[in-house]
Parts: sequence; C-alpha cells; structure tokens
Amino acid sequence: MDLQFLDIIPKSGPLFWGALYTLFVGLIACGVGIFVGTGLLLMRNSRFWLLRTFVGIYGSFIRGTPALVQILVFYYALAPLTGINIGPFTAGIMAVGFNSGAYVAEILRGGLSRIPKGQWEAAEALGLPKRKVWFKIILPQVFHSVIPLLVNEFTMVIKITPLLSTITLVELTRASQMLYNETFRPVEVLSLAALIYFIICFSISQFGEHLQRRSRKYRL
Amino acid sequence: MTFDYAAIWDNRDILINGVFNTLLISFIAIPIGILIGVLICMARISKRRLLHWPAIAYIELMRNIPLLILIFMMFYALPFYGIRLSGLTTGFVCLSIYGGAYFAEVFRGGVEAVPKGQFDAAKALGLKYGFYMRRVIFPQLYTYVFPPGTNIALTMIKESSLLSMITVAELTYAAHDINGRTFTPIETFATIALIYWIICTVFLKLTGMLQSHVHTDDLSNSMAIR
Amino acid sequence: METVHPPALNPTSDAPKVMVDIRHMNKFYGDFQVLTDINLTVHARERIVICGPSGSGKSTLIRCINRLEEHQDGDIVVDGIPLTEDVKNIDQIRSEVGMCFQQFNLFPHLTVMENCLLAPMSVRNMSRSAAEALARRYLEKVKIPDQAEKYPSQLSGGQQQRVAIARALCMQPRIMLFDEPTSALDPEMINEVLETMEELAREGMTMICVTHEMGFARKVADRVVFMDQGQIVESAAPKTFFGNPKNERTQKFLQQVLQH
Repeated sequence: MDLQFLDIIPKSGPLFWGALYTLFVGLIACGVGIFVGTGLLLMRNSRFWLLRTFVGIYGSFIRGTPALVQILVFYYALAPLTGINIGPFTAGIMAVGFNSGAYVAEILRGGLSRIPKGQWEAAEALGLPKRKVWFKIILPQVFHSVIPLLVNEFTMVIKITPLLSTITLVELTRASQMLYNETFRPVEVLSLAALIYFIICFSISQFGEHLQRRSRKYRL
Repeated sequence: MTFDYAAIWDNRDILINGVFNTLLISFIAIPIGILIGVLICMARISKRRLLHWPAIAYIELMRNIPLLILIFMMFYALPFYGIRLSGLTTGFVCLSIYGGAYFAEVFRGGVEAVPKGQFDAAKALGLKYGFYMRRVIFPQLYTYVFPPGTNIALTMIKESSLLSMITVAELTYAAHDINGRTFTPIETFATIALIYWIICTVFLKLTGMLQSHVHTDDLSNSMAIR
Repeated sequence: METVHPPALNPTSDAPKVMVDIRHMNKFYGDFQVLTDINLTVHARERIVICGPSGSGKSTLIRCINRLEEHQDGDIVVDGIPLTEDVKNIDQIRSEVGMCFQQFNLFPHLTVMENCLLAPMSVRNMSRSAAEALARRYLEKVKIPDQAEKYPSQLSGGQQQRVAIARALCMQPRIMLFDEPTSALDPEMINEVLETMEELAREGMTMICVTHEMGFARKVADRVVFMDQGQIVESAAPKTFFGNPKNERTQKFLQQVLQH
C-alpha cells in the first residue's frame, strides 16, 4: 500500500487542535501534580503519624495500579461515590495530576535528601519558624535542584494523556482515531500523531537535559 | 449506596481469566524486553557508528512516543501491509520493544556507573572487549541495574492495561466486560485496582527479596515508563 | 534598636550578668554518652575559647546552647531563659544567640543581602528598609559592603564566612557562638575571618568559640576551656592555660598542637 500523506495533511487540522489540547491538559495536570507532590512532601515530613502514613498509602496506590485504571476509577467511581458530578475533563486532569503528584513527591524527596543538614541548622539558629524554613530556605533549593527532573516529568505526563481518550477527551490520540475512522488512513494519521508526540516530548526532554547541564549556577 | 459483591463474584471467571492474561503478557514481555534492552545497550555503547546511531534513534523514538500510539500503529496500521497480528501478539511485541528501549537506558546507566578503573584494569590485563564486558563489567551491573530495572518491569505490568483498548482480554478489559453486563462501575474498577495493586506489591516484594542489599535510587522512577 | 550592653566584666564590681549558665549537663546519643557533667558559666562580654581533640564533644556542647542538639539532663539557662522543651523559649533563645558554622551554611539561593535580610524581617518583623540599613552596616563591619548583590557561590570561603558572621549579627544577638569557623578555610583566608572575630571581641560581644586557632585564643580569650572525651578537663585564663596547664591531658594536647 502506498502512503498518501499528501492527501492526509490538508485534513490534519483536528490533529493540530488535538495536540494543543494535549499540551493544555498536560500543563494543567502537571501543575496539579506539582501542587500535590509538594503537599505530599510536606506531609511526609510532618510530625503527625497519620499524615505520614497517608503519604505511604497514597504512593503505594499510585505506583501499584495502572494510570489507566486510576483514570477509570476517577471517571466512573468517584463521581457516584461523592455525589459531585465532575465531567470527563476535570476527572481526567485530576486523575493524571494525582498520578503525577506521587512521582513529583518522589522527585522532590530525592532533591530534599541532597540539601545539606547545615541549611536546616543555619535557618534554625537564626530563629526562623518552621514554616519559613520550609518555604524560604528548603523548598526553593529543592525545586531548583530538580527542575530538569520536573521538566522530564512533564514529558511523562504528556505520555499518559493518550489514556484520556478512553474517557472521551478529544486530545491528540482521540483526534487521530476520529480522523482515521473518517479517512480510513490509519497508517498516515497514526504516523503523523506519533511524529507530533515525538516532537513535543523530544524537544521538552532535550530542554530538560539542557537545563541539567547548566543548573550549576549557585551550588555551594 | 451499597457495594454489590455479587456482581464481582458472579463474574469471577472473567476476572480470573483477565488476571491470567495480564500475568501471561507481562511475564513474556519482560524477559524479551530485557533481552532487547541488552542488545540495544550493547549497540548504544558501541563505538561503531552503524550500531551506535540506530540504537540512539530506536531509544529516543520509543521514549518519546506514547505506548498507546505504538499499540494502535501495530494493530491498525500493520494489516495494511498484510501483517495481521492478534491482539495478544500485538501486546507482547509492543510491550517488549517499548520496554526494551527503557531497559537499554537502564543498562547503559549501569555501565556508566561502573567505576572507570574497572575498565582500565581489564584493558591493562590485555582482556578483549567482548570478554571483559561479559566477564568483568556485566556481572557488576547487577547492583546498579536492579532497582531501576525492577521499576521498568513493574511499569510494564501496569502498561499491559493499555491492551484493553485493542480488546485483549486482560484485567482492565475484564472490568469493562463485567461493567458492561452488570453496570457496577464502582465495584468492578475498585476491584481491579485492588488486584493490580496486589500483583504489583507481590512483584515488588519478590524482587525486593532478590536485591536485599541493593539500595533503590529514588531517581530511577523518573526514568520509568508509566 | 541599639542593643544596650551590660557593664564590662570587672572583678571588683558587683557580679556581672550571667549570659550562659550550664549546670550538670549530660548528653547521650542512644547509650553513648557524648557529654558528661558539663558545668560552664559565661558572663556578659566574656570571650570563651573551647578547644580539645576532635570527637571531644566541643561542637556538641555549643550546639546545645541554641538547641541544635538536645541535652538529656542538667540545666541550661541562656540570658535568663531556661532551655526546655518549650518551643517559645527555644525560639526566643535562638533569636538572642547568633551562630557561625564550620561550613558557613549560607543559603545558596539567596544573595548576600537576602541572606542578611531574611531573619530580621521574618523573625523580628523589621521593615525592609530598616533591615537593609542594618545589613549594610554589618556587611561594612565585616568588610564586604560591595558584594551585597552577589550569590554566596561567587565569593571566596573567607568572604562567605564573613557574610555568615554579618548574617548572624543582623539579628543583633547578645551572644555569638562560633563552631570551628576557620576549619574549612584555605590557610590564606583564615586571618581575615579571625580579624573580624577579634574586632567583634573588642566591641564587647559575648563569644563562645570552638576553634583550633591557639593564637586567637591567646590574644582574645578571657578563658580557655579544654575538653576531652565529653568532659571539661581544664578551664583557665590563657596565660595560665598555655603557660602552666595543670592537667596531664591538657599538657599532652598543647604539646601536640603547639609543636609547630
């Protein structure tokens, strides 16, 4: 069978919008992930036993179940259970964001473990209260040291967004499914979709590596 | 609202079949993935350009497109070239070649983590490349490769859930199936989440026993597929 | 706000104010006893140098004074405030006691100026302009007024340690603790830090310094405390301490340190 990209490309507008939607969903989910991850990190280091246990269970659940199942649980189970009717968009973003949050928490934990003990001591010796120590001294350094990993995490999030096609979000994968069902040209359409994903993820991860190389600005 | 146990219990055969298929797919795809990983890694660290660059292209391609797209391409596009694979076969093939790229990166990371002095010593003894890689370097990889490798394998088990989208009757598909019959989404999806969790936790415990003295690098997660 | 210093230590006047009072203090790491029956009284404007072999517990001792380490029994009273579990007391003591560390521990993500502003603004609730004026004054005092906008990593080790001193001074502490402030420095930078410390001593700051710099001890200290194996072995004015040490362990230590 000969490839007919020239026929498909003029019709590939939906793929472009799908790609934008993917990026949009990915960005929001990543934001949710960073927020959740930071929360988990703080809870993990809390003096309350209950919070620390919760973080353990949460991490175990996220790492022990497929992202697809998490999305389905969010979409099908959470709304009837809580009585709040969240649409597929919110459910999808929440599921991906909460998934990412557990991994962001791991990344941040790695960063935290590399903060020298002296930073805590100096901050405490100055009499700074706990909250200030975390938000002014420790977290800025943790985030700075893990920026490349967080960028990488963004590509991870992009790579799980295709799963949202199962809950009817028209992101890039769903858009391409619709397009090849219409054109009967899965080879060309899927190749284009793969290329778009590749361009997005590859450029982001290269950017992350670039950051990694020059992230030595203010190391002691 | 009550939890409808009967819906799950009456359809236990479907679930059991699903679990069986999930385990089958994972435990065929993981070893093949490791094998592919070793080969690609060898090519990747080789100095011959004809091996080096294709390996990089393969790794980067696999790492930068979502697995679902790969699965769809295999399943929907290959038939146009006269290659018609069953869903299950597509599953094995996709998961292993996808996982293979990640395993290759893990092995490469391991080779780079082996102290340079080991290579120098092996070369100084006059050992040949193939020989010292096989007898000196690879045996030392274990420590560096096991924790992130476990992560990749674990992710492959989880990723097998994507095959439900091409109607492979694994665990997630089983849930859709049961839900379609009984309209009990909460029960079914909660149940399979629990089953996945048990499979993964048991897997981690087993591998944990194999590597009791190896420390998990907390950053290895960032390399894992999900 | 200008700190009013208590009257100078003068043996003939009535008793000067006690700044740090440690009584029968013991500290354990699990079963291991790191500090045994420590008794130490430091008066206002006194300069104490603590020395001893490594592992003798001298750093641990001064870290107990601002509760970076917990002690198990005995009492520590700092500037009239008893050091207990009470978080309020700990916070109050920490804002009265400045500390400099061996590894400087400047905050690498903040500029020199921001390092100095952080505590006065958030602990003392000072306005930015007041805190900045204060910071400039102390940066000038440690002789690095023109580096305020740089990041710590752009400074030499000696400069970093002087910034750390300025940062501590910005809280206008009544006591300064120095934990081996020159040990991590290249030899050519040690003097600039010691000079800063000497100047501080001349101005009447109450200081407790853990250091191996015996020259500094001789020149500045009112009292030298020698520690070994978690105990205070000897405590004397520098003249007696260096000229006529009583304890055998002190003699041995001094022989080793002063040999070259």
